[in-house]
Amino acid sequence: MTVTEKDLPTSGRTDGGGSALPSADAVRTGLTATAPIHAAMPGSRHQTMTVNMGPQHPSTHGVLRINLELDGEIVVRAVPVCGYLHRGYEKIAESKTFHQYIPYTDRLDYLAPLSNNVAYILAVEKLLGIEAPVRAQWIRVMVCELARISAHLLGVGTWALDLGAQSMFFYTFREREAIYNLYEKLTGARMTTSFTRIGGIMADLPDGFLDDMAGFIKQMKKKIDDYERLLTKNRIWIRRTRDIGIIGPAEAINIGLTGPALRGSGVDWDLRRDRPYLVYPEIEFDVVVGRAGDVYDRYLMRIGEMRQSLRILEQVARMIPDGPVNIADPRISYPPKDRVYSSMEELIYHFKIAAEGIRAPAGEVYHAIENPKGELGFFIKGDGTNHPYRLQIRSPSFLNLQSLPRLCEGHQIADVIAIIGSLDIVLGEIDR
Amino acid sequence: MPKIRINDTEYEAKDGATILDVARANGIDIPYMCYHPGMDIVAVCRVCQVEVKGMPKLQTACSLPIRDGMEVFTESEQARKARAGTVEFWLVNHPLDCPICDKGGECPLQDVTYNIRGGGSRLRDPKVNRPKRKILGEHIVFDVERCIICWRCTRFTQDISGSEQLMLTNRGVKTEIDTPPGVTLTDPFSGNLADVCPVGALTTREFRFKSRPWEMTPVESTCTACSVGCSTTVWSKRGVIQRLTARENLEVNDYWLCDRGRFDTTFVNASGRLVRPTGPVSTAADKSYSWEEAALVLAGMAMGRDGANRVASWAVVAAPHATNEEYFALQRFARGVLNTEDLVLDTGVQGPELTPSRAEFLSGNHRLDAVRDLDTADVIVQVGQNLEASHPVYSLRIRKAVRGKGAKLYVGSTAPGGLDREASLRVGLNEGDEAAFLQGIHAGTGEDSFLRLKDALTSAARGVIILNAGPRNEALLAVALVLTKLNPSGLKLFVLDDGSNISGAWDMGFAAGYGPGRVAGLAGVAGSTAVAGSTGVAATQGLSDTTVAPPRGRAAVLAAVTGGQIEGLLLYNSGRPWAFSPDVLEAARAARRLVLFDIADGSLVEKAQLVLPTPTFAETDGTLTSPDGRVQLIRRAVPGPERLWHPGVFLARAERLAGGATRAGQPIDIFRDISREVAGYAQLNFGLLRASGLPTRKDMGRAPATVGGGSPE
Repeated sequence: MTVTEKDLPTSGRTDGGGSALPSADAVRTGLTATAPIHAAMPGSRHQTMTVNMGPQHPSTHGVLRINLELDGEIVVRAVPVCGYLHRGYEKIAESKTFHQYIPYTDRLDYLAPLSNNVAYILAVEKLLGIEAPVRAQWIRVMVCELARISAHLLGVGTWALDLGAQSMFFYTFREREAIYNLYEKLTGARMTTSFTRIGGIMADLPDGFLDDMAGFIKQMKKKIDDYERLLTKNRIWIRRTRDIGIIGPAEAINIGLTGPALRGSGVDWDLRRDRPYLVYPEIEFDVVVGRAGDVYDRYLMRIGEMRQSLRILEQVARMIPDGPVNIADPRISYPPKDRVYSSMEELIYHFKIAAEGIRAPAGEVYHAIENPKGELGFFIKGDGTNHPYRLQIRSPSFLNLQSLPRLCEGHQIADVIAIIGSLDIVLGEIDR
Repeated sequence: MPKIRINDTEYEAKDGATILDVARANGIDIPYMCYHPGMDIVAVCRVCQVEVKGMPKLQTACSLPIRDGMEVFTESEQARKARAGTVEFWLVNHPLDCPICDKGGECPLQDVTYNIRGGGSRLRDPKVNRPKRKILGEHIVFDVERCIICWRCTRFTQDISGSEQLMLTNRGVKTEIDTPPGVTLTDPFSGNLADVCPVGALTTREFRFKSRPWEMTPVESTCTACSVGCSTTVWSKRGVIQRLTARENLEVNDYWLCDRGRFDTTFVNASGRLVRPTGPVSTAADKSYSWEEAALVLAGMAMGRDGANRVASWAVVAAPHATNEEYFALQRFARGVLNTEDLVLDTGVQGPELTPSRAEFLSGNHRLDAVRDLDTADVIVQVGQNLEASHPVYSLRIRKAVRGKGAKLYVGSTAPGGLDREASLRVGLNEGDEAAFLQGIHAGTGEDSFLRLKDALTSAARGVIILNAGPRNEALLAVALVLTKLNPSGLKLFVLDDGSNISGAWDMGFAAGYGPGRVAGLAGVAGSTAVAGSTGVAATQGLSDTTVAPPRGRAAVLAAVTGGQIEGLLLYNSGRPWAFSPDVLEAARAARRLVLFDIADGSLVEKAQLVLPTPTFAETDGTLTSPDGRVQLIRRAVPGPERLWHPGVFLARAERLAGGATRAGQPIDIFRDISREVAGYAQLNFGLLRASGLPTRKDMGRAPATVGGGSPE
């Protein structure tokens, strides 16, 4: 189905952070990006040249190769070539138990591993027809939002670095470090978190975690203001991003853009609100929506979303209930370790879960969540065994990347860097 | 046909079936521990209790025969509670051994606990400690703490193997399994105890602490230790066999496997295996050849045109436990390339040969059609060696017939054995007296017992005479065939020879004078298309200008090798170790040229001009044929020596290098040729044989093979 402009819902626009947008005219470059230079030179003979950007180019955020057909400085055609990081993750799932696959999800979008853990486990729980205890759901929301902030920090930081704003990178990595310290406290790992479990999470919050997080939130709010001071009205930044890589709402939907890239084009769509999961319905937050659909608006989406995530985290810290964090069924959740060491039944449950894994009924499920980069969905077909018959991942980066040829066309080669940054792709989930 | 309702769904059932039978047939999960499909029902474990409408108390599903219109509820509150309680009692004193227990991961007790117990332990008191590591016999260790007293093991030794070497001692909570005072567990089927034990109480000393079940790769195969051909599962880890277990096959071995077949596997991963072709004139430092070079050497010896290396005359001797594919490839190579009809199956100095009388018997009406027919026999006469030692699992089948269906068993044997206890009459014989014993029965005079036997055989409706005299079977068969005239419609003969695949070798035409399908050759013309089943190289190259003498017997062939009239000897063994008979060894030492195929280093390796490693039973695909004509599949379970060529591939390459046809030589390719050229194997393939094998057509050898000879190449 193809979407046209008139099918789109009309929605109010929030700019998320309250920062006033500079007038587009004021920053217009004067050069019409879509009109190649040679067009103004009738009769000139020219040839296009094809060059590879990547797969070892630092600005391609991993091992992406872009096949660029250039007419001088102007991109005539940009074809992304992926597959350099293919590890067969979907196939591997067919020989792993449901639990054993959790660590693999860390390595999809490795900038938001916690969020991937949650997305995968929700799909498995849907297949099993179970739900984690409420406290676990709140903690899952919390880690998802921490992951969102951390992913956006890295996304904006490297993006700015690629465009020459080096100091931004150092600042965002400093705050990301604070989040990683929280991760470490919570999961024992800074990056490969593997935090979720079927029917719950690895462990309850450690002592004082919420206090640490409150401190972080307080700091982070100020930092976001700093970022905006550095970039939002920065003349160079605006000239590099305004009116670059524009995509309209209908086209964005047809390509399959999700996440900040979609909302930057003015489509008011967020799975947390529109296909609610976990305890998001109980939480207040705004969906940040842009208008222009250019690189600059996609930047504003991320800044705005970080503020919203902080808002959610504050609510989590306030509203999180007490209770168990793992489902009570001993066939699904590991029994407490001291019981495993001392009583027969619990030892057997532990042995069976560890050695054979949990059997899921035959059936097909798809469950998606709003990941930092967009809709991350897992399709699982179960055949009654302890492993998926087929597992497929709908990764946001892969679909967002599909817009690259359209976005780059007619722009200068340096703009390709800005556009890649604005799509915030990560090759770990493009090549699975 | 009665109908019953289980959990509000109606099922059809057979008369006399139990509730559990119906549930199992329809995939309804009722747990059980003491029930075993191969054993009698005792209903002692109580975990299969279900609610039956109209009955005030719960009933054990395994023991309650169904009645038309019966309504059963397996998941009612009462039934669930009773089952969960039963499991809880088992676990009260069950030790926390799962992390070190061999059964862990394939343990029915774990499964029922996980599936139906559902709650945590309520035990507060310390567990009762009982003896662990009680060594019951050569193979079996018993852990008293783990035992749940299901009686499967005691029932096995009482009802299945008949040794009665396990019993229950003491009463109540002190009940435990033990051997009778002063008795060691010497049961030749003791390995099955570990298979049937639903917990880790009985384990085999060979497998203890070796591997977790999920670390191993199971491959369904067939045992090659004797001609019974029991279905097995070969479990290996990282290319090393960890254990063999019995695999259900109601046509052959039911659920059982003998200890010889189960534990005699160490040679597969032993040191001293041959790993690459060698020969004394190799220029390599370790005297090795590449496979291609080795094929060239053999081709040169067979067909060398310079005359220097050519070996003019050949004999081929093979051990009796190779696969059908190997025999087929061997006879094709022997006839087509080596130009010889002197094929000897080494079954012992006076071992059986495919003689006209034997060939006629195999194609005739007196042969037992299927081992399963033993179950319904009413009179069974077993003559010769102790069957429990020579063909162990057949003795289980006979015991089942005697105990279950009331068959009468008469044994005339040269050594006492476990079956003697089942026999109505047992006569001790000296070796060589077997024929006289049958003659005595035929005459029906002299002793009382002969008269009784004669009466029994004459009046039998489905009588079977089992001839198991090893090398003396030939003489015995002649007498037995006379005996069948007493009761032509009611008597069958079952001839058991001492070699795992003699039937297969003969079917494949690895027999002097008999081609594939046991078709008698045209006066033994070597290279003849009718015999070889394909155009021989020798014939096409004009080398078989003279007609080779009619097939000589084994003794004559070996004497000719020893005497130098036959220059070359190709000695073949694969699958498992084989000690060639003294006369073969003598011939091998005297032979001018010796080509040796074997699995492991031995005394003949020094002597041979060319030594070629062969796969063991666990390293090759292939088929075996049992004495009743059933073909079964063996599968490659471990990789074996690196870059090992299957003998079929090697012989095909040598044939090609000798100027012969180009063929594919993998087992599956050879079997395709077999199904084309051997009448009884027509339309069979590996896929069809998979689970439990299939019978071959019995009327082989009567007519020429279907497409047989003249396939143009």
